[in-house]
Amino acid sequence: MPEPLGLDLAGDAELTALGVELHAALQQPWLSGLDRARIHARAVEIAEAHGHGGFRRAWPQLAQLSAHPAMVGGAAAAVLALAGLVALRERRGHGAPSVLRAA
Amino acid sequence: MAHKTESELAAERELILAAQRDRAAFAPLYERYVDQIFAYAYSLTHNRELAEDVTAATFARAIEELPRFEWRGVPYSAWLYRVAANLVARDKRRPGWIELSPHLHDDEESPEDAATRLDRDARIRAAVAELPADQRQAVLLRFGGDLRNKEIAGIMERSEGAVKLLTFRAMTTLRKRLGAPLPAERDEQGARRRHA
Repeated sequence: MPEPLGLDLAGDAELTALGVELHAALQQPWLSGLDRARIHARAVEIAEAHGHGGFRRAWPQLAQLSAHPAMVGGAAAAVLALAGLVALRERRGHGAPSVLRAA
Repeated sequence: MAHKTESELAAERELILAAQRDRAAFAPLYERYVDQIFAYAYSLTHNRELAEDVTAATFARAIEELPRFEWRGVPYSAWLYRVAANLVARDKRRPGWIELSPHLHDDEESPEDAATRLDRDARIRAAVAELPADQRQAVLLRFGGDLRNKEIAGIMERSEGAVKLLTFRAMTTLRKRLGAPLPAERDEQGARRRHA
């Protein structure tokens, strides 16, 4: 049997079995899909800030991230907040914000 | 608990070459290693947010260095681990350990088996978390990263002998803390011995 650690553990089945358990426990995923997508998005941002463009299009996971319900929900909330702001300003007689007037 | 075989290393080299030709092909390398690098960064920083930052910065560096990366016959993860270690060394913030819950996906496992294994895995991760920093790092790189002692020695900037000793001490401590392995692991070992 190959020596798993490069140590003199021959015959120590319990220690070898512990190695198998350690391997199984430490190889389990630590991150959710959303965690991976978030880290990926941050990595792309850092790389692009350093002048390495093109990965945003090349990595399809970003598309998944943008379609995630939390992101869609966040965008919807932003739209609602903006609509509320417009309504409030209109009631106060200020009209729409300049960014909307320009559009 | 195997290291990468020659054919696995050759396949990994092909992945890197493909990514150098077409950036979209980097995605499999990211998916393969992001968890390992995060776990390692987390073991060094003891802080989830910081570990995510280190992981993101490691892969950003990977993206940037990809055109210049030269294959040296060792797993790509060895290079990633080294970058992560350097980033953490540069950033001296190291708050306390917070235990993470793993995200598990195994549809074939019964709820009872999954609960037993989850409990055991959590105990193992907690015990690893309590190891001294250098032992913890050696164990994560060995069992979480499937790296050889020589590769671990390069990342930790220690001798191979020191890495062996750290791993042995860690395992001795873990055996005392965790007790006997689960029956499944004992059975697996028994089967291996019978077939040896």
